[in-house]
Amino acid sequence: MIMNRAQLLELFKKTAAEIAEKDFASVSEDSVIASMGVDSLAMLEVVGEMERELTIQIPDDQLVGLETVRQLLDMLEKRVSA
Amino acid sequence: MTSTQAEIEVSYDVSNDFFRLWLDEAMHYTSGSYLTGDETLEQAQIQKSEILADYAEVTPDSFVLDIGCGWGSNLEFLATRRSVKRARGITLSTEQCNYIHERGVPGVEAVVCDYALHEPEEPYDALVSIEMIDHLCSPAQATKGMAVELYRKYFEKTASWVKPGACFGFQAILRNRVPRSRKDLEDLAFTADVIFPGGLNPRLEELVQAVNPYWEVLELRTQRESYGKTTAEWLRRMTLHEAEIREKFGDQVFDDYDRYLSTCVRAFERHWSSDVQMKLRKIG
Repeated sequence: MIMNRAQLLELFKKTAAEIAEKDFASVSEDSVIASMGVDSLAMLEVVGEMERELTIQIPDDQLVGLETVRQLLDMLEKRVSA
Repeated sequence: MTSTQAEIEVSYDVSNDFFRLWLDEAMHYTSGSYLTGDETLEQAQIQKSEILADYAEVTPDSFVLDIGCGWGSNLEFLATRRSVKRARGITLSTEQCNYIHERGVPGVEAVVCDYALHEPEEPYDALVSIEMIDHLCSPAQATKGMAVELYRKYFEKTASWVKPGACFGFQAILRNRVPRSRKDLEDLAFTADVIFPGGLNPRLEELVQAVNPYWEVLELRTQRESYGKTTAEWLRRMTLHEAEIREKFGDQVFDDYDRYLSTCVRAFERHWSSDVQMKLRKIG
């Protein structure tokens, strides 16, 4: 599925909200993932849901050291457009 | 730092009688090698030992060390099927060591010893190690980026025990893709924390990196599906003895091992885990 940057951000916010059962309406690309109150297991679930939605697979080593939503979207965008 | 002796005894000292109920008759607690897919567990375990003995270039006159020898199934294979006259095993488990001595297989001896402290009185001709390296690096150490360094120390040490050009039949469980569901991640964490405390399966690339510069990789084969079949058969056999296990060893033991083995079956099916065999030859 092809998505632009804004759509990817919306998909991330929607998916994270469903999994963490929190409101992430104010989350932006600059948001730090660790400060969103999403633990590492929930974050992996979010990534898994987005992989399914976008029909992509992200190598595990690229998930290490992700700090901001922007870094996650950069990685997703590369995979989606590949 | 490897798994401590206390951690190893959590993993292997539940009771020899418990493991005897669901492992193969020789008590291999590692993946068999299913080459056609139609073999019994017993045949697959013998095939595993055959592959590793071939990789190690074992002959009847070889002085062979099995690092992390379990209940001595591979040592017994070497002595009985390969006519090896001197086969030694090292293990951190007292129960396993006693069990090997009770077997009384001629030419076989076992020692309770941390591999890092082992100093042979003469060089070995061949080495075998089956899924012992999975106890070498803890999750905490891996998080600190110490895995390759710890594995490299192991390969350096093992190379110091053998004659020039000696070969090593090596097998390890691998971790591969990280699951994406909380339940699956929690099941894997349970396996690591409760069944195999202190252990972590290496990644294939870490092993290939760590053997250098001590060993040359001559052959490498993965057998993810074989481990899936092995664990599925362990689970099937254990379930057949459910009532007996609950009565003799308690509900907690059955429930823990049911969860662990069920998780293993899924792990190999879904590529979270795999298994590798390597033929290594000492450089220099």
